[in-house]
Amino acid sequence: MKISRVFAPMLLFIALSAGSTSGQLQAERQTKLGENAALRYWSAFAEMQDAAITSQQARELNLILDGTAPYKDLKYKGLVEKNKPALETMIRGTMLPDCDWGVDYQLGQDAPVEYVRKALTLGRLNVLYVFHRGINGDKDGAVRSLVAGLRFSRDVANGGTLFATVVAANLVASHLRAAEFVLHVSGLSTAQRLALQRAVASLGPNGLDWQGAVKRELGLYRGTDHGLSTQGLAALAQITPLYVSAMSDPSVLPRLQGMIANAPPDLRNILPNPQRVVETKQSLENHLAEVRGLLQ
Amino acid sequence: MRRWGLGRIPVQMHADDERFEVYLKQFRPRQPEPLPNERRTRVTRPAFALGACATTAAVAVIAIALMMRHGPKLNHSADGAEHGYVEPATISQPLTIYKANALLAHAPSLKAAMDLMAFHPQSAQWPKNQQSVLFVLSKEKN
Repeated sequence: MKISRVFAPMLLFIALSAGSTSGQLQAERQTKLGENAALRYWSAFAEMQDAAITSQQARELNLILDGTAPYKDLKYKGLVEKNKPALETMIRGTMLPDCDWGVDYQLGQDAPVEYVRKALTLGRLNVLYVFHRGINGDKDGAVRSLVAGLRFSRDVANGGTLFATVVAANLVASHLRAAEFVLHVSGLSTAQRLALQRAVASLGPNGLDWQGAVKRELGLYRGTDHGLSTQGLAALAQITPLYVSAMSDPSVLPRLQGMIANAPPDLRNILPNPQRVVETKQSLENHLAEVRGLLQ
Repeated sequence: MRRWGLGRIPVQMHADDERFEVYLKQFRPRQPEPLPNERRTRVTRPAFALGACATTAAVAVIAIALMMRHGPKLNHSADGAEHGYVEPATISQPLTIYKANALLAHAPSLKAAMDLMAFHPQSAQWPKNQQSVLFVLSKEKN
């Protein structure tokens, strides 16, 4: 009798503690899910507004994004203003610490990565938004959009394959060109300059996680259900570590390319040219270094 | 001398007539029902929808068949070097890892890979000589 009196409150206490712990875990998990920036980015994609432009305008738009033609606000402010809600949703999303696109790698090569295409469009609209704000004297706004755009570009590559990283690199480069424009045309206050410095520094010297992207890319073909022959799989096992190390040590490129050239055709035909990947990576690193120098 | 108002002819009322008048006064005006046209439209709608679905399905089947026949073709040499795409066809939705990787592996350049990734979701909607700005922005170069 006495024993039951002692143990009953203890058991009740343990049960209540366990219940509250699992409740806390669930609440934390829900908060984490809600704090996933990718969900906000998808909302932004849904908010994007299209507009009709002529072929001439299309060519001009590409030249502006390449940094070889000046931005004309009269022509594009309508498009930018129309997409302001989408861009502001994206900017708010970049405040969140985590971004998980939830790519379903269990589907292997059939995993949809449509977000990459939409991210390229939204990121480029953001570059136009930076120009629009910079030209209209809204320096704070331009810097805010730039900082967010750089963060968004990095998030695009998060957890994705090499393709997502290549698109992210293109977006980072476009934002860096826009940063150069804002620095050149508007001139920035110390606070604005510091905000940009921090954003560029947060990208690190490489800008993006190229090694992780290559690992995920080549890891897709390890399973037998991806159509590679036994010889192809054996060659892939040898090529993968070298391809990964080429991202940090380009001196291994000739050896890697030799191995790819001698690999079975089924493997050779699916491997992206490492030379191009390394060139893209190096070009981004150089561009980052240049902008860092400008911001000093 | 006229003893009655305009348009009214005094008639002697019988008791039956008075009862009939009271009976008629019980009736009140009612809200009119919707016009029969609307009901008819409703009847024809499923048939129209069925026809539209069938047409859409037929068009989709033809489009898929054409895409499979004339879709992006990869051209490889014996040593595996890339010759790029034979046709600069766009990559259909949804973009998958397979399609993206094929682009990376075979497009003439990484920039061209992004160009080929472009997708024009509402091409029919734009006037002649104009295109979707979202389509243009999803490409690397025009």
